[in-house]
Amino acid sequence: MNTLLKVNTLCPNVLRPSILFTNSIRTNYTFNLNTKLVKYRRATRPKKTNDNSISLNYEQSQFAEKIGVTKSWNSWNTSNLLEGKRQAETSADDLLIRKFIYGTFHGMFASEILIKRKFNTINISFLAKLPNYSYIHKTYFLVGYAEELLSCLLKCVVKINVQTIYHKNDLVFRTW
Amino acid sequence: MNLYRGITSKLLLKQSFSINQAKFFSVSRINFNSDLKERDLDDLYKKVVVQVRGHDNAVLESYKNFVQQTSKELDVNLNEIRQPDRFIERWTILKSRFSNRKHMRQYEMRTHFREFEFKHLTGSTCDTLLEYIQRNLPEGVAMHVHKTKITQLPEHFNN
Amino acid sequence: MSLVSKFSRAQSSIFTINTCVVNTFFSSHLNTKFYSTESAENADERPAKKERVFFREQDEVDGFKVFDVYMNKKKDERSFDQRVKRTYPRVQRDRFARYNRMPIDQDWTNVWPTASPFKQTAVPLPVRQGFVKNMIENDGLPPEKYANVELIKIPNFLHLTPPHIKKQCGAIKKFCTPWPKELKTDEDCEKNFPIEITTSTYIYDGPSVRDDRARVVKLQIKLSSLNLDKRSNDKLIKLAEDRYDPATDTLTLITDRCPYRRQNEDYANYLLTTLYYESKQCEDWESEITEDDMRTFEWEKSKSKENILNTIRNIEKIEDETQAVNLKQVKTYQNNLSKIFNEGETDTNILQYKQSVLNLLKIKTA
Repeated sequence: MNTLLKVNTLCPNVLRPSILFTNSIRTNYTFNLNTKLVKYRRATRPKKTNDNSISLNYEQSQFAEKIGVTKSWNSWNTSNLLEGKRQAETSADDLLIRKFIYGTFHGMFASEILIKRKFNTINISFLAKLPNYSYIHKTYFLVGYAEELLSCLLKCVVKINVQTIYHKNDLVFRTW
Repeated sequence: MNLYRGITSKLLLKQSFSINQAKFFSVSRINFNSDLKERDLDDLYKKVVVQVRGHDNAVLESYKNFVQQTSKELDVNLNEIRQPDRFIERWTILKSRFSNRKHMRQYEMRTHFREFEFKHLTGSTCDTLLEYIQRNLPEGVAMHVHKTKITQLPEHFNN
Repeated sequence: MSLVSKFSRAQSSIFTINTCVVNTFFSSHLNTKFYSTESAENADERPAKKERVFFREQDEVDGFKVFDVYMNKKKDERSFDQRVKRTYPRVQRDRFARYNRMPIDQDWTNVWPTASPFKQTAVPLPVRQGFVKNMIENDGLPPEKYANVELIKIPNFLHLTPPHIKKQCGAIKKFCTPWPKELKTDEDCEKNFPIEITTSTYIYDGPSVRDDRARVVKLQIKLSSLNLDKRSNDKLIKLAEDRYDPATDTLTLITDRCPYRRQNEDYANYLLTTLYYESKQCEDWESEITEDDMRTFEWEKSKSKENILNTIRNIEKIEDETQAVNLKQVKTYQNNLSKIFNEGETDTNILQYKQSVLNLLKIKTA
């Protein structure tokens, strides 16, 4: 499953679409973001350009082999530990959450969705860039709506934390 | 987590404890209408081993510091802190969906451990400590608790 | 403007100059750009616009001018900032953040009472998180906490600082009870409370609190605390088979056949009771036990006793059994032989046995 969203920034002088939002693992083997990929260098690595026109944020600049080294996991749960339970269910729930939240907060994303589980609570966090000031009220509604629906679907207590940033260029870490 | 039991036993426990009076009672149903004579007595735990498992060593280190400080504040005997060897589960699977057996991919999942051994806890202390520690368990960290309770022989054993 | 941002801007301006030097392919070309106007009158003017050049060196080499195709397609010498065109200067953001209005002597336990995700505006520390390989990445600085996803990802312990722990433990300390002073050592515990019941709880994420493994109960008891006579003890050990560990003299019963922990505990107690009473009860056929089935070697019932009595009868000419048994050499022989059977063969054991045999048979060694 490839969820590849190309987003044009507001900055007019950059000619090419600058930031790619992909899953940190682009393969269809593991969506399980707790695993550490070894020896697969082409995943998550965009094609290098001649003039460094592609901008990457920190997460995208640390390619797949850096997970666990300089890049942390997007979803924190206990299913993949030794003698852990509910591996499949947890991964499937993560998929559901990501798809659902990409849809509700469409266009607002500045980062990947972070899912943290503690006992029966799920904390969902992400960075967002709101298009304009009136969106603050809309965001509150969306947050409440998403929390309510997700908690009914997943049978867990769901909390969503949205952190806003002023400009998407603040995320740029390096060019590639 | 025996929250219910923990709370109710705290309400009905004797603060002073004497060995001669201790009997073997199974601490089960709490009758709120019961007489004051039949109170639940504190359990005695010779050893409580708490093993914490996580993917990240740094998180477990911070948690270890937290547990150490907690046991100091609550006056609990933290006997030993062990670090069992990490466990790595590796999957070596085919890269391509048809042929190319020589090209495979490896995935691994690492589990790190920390073990805290508490010695000589009473039932209410154990419940309090464990509840506090468990509530503050960070995300992505699992816990195994092994409690060793010491009791007397049942009454029907004639010595 | 915070000190950190000042420092970062100063650093970035230094670094841009360095990157220019490092990244250029033709340093001679660069020199010509910067020092294009050398006369004093034009020194304040902006440097002339870069002309398109096709030849590396204007003079001929061997009658040819060196033509370079990619001469004009070099990488920009602009800094990272200029390339990316930060339209929003960083200074303005810090002004509205909450941490600018936090007093130094505030109570952190009130600011961050419970576990919550990392809010960069609420944390007054100038934290940076991120690995930076070279100057191209974020001007060589680890990224700030503003718009830093890595800091949100990692579980934070800001709700468990030492003041937090002191406060919270102080509040729950009243629910703790002290350990009785009379039970200082393990031996005291064993003497008064011989049974040890071990139970486990497992805490994992998920909508359900239940764990299947939590129903297992382990009951351990030292048989010496049961006060059984020798025959009952042996019988109990025979019934228990490999649940008994002779090295530590403990009987271990692990029960998991019932679905609930309480049921397994009761079942373990029931097992112990049955073993106890079964071993106490003496059946008629138990007196027919043979030497092979006995757990320990007992000289009184063994064949060795008959043989020894025969030898004594021949050597010492004593017919009376009790008198024969009470002889000193017979007693030592009995002890040493029992040691070998019960404790195993060691050098000392066998030497002692040898001595006792020689004494018995009145053989003098040279």
